[in-house]
Amino acid sequence: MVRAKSLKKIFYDGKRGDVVAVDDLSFECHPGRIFGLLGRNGAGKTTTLRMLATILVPTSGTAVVDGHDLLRNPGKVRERIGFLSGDTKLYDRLTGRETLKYFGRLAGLDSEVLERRIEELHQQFGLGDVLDVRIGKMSTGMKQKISVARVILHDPSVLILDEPTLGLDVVNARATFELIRRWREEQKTIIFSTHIMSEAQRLCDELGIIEKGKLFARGSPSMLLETYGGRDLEDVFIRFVDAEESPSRSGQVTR
Amino acid sequence: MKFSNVRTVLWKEIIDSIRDSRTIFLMIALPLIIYPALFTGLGYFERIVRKRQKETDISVAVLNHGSARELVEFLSGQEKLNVLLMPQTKTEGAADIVREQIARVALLIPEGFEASVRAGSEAGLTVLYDGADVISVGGRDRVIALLREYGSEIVRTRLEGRGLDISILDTVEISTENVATAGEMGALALGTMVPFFLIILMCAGAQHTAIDVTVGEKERSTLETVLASSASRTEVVFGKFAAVMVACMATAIMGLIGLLLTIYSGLSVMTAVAEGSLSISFGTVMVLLLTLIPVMIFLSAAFVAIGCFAKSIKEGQTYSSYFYMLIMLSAVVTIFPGFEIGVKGYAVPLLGVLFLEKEILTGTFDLLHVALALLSTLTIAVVAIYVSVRLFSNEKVMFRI
Repeated sequence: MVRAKSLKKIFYDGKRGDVVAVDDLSFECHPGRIFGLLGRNGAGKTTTLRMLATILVPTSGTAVVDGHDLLRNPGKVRERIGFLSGDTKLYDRLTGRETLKYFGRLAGLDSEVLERRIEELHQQFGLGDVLDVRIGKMSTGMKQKISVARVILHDPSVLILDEPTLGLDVVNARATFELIRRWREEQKTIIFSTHIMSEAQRLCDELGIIEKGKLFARGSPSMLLETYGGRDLEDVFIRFVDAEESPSRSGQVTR
Repeated sequence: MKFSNVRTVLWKEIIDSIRDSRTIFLMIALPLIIYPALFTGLGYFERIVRKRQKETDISVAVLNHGSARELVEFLSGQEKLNVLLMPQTKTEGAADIVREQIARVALLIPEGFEASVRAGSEAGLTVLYDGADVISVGGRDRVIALLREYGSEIVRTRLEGRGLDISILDTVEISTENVATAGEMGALALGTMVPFFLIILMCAGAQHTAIDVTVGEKERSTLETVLASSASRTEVVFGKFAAVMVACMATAIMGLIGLLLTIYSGLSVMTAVAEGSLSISFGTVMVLLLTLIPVMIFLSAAFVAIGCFAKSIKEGQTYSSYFYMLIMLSAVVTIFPGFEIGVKGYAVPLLGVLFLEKEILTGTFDLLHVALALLSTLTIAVVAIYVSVRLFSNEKVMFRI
């Protein structure tokens, strides 16, 4: 399970001074559930997920990931998570197999377990001969498969996925959705970020709408639609964005 | 810290690096060819230049030649000397004759030169040459030697005219003998060339790998992948530092292999230049390598720190080039024979080790120098490691835009 408690991140920018990227963000996600962070580009989704993955340290607040506080025990947190984002690319000069061995060893898997896991993932993703091809020579879809295999290689209980379908074609995006659903069935805790509303509506058990670093609304897609009205999540989201940009209208969405 | 993780990162970085053709060139090809090129190529070209200076016909423009008919006749009778009798009687334009290479050397004869010689008084001559033209410089030396010969002939004639024995001119006969053995002369040449070029090679190997494994990862968006793994940042940065150190050491080893190949293949023609014989034992090579370890640690850690600090590969290359130049400027003093740094100088990090390398090559090393040089360089190496670990662990540095 993941419990974020008042997470806050302030960056210093030479021109703008202190910039609050994430402001007092709290949420929970339980095993077998998918929590989606919905927000437009620059809303603070990636910063939130980077904090959960211990890549960035919160300015204040903390989170407990699978029983471990990320400030007190970041190493234990990393052992329990699988993190995938647009900035977790793979090494072009290594083959798929070398990549998986590298990250498996860093995760502390012994040789026998590692070989078995690679073989399982080989079968599961239908990697064929591609596993021994250098990453730099693979297609985008194959790279994504190796990336996903890298994320679940050590069988983490928490998956943190930042825009996992970004740049993928329809077929590969759909395959990624299927995987995420399967991981939910395997009782993994999944935190997922996207700016694509249809993705969020189809996949998430619970959603958090984030804008300018703040979490404005939380609930299941059906609850959000019921509470805030609109044909779909896009309508709900646009209403929040409009309210944020025109504070005088904010009363319309504060029910 | 788990050393198994450090080893895993190190192994991955080595595989990743050796699959990069630029690394192979910098770590293997360049070090292997630099010493053969230096000792063979430079010696070859220097010999050609000397030969040209000796064999090329020198043109000498004589101004106001009417005032020195006998001297002109003497010069005209010399082999490989073309005497050009210029119409000018004044010195104006003499420099242009040399500068425009109408003649490589110009000889200015003052008015009444021959009359002064006959009167037994002193007569001055001026030789103009172009210091930026090696043939002109060689021509100057040749013309001066001939003028001295002509002057000696005048003295001989004057003494004979007064009925004096010319042997009274022979006062002291000087002969010189070099007590240094051929091996010692060769060691001097090695001590001059080897430490400087070794540090250049080590910098090149460390710089390329360090930039690739640090800011290169930032730019290729692979850094977050490893930061999100179970390994700690200290383990990751130590693995990267160790990989840079391996690259640095590999470059130094390949450089020394190149040196040994040059010496023992008989390719070197620097022997003629150094007036000695180049030889180096395997033991000396090993001692050189061992004493260079603190330098390798320092360079590797410093380049890793620069790579961590840089925002882009371009920025990393710029900063590391400044550092590279700083190292070269410090090291360049080692190529001046006779430049000594004194005991305190050995306590200067890096510089002390370079001078220690010279001592090892000439077989004159002092244990106090060894201790001072190694300890001082190890100290800044430890500081550089600390800085690189701190920078790698600092998200404000690693994720600055």
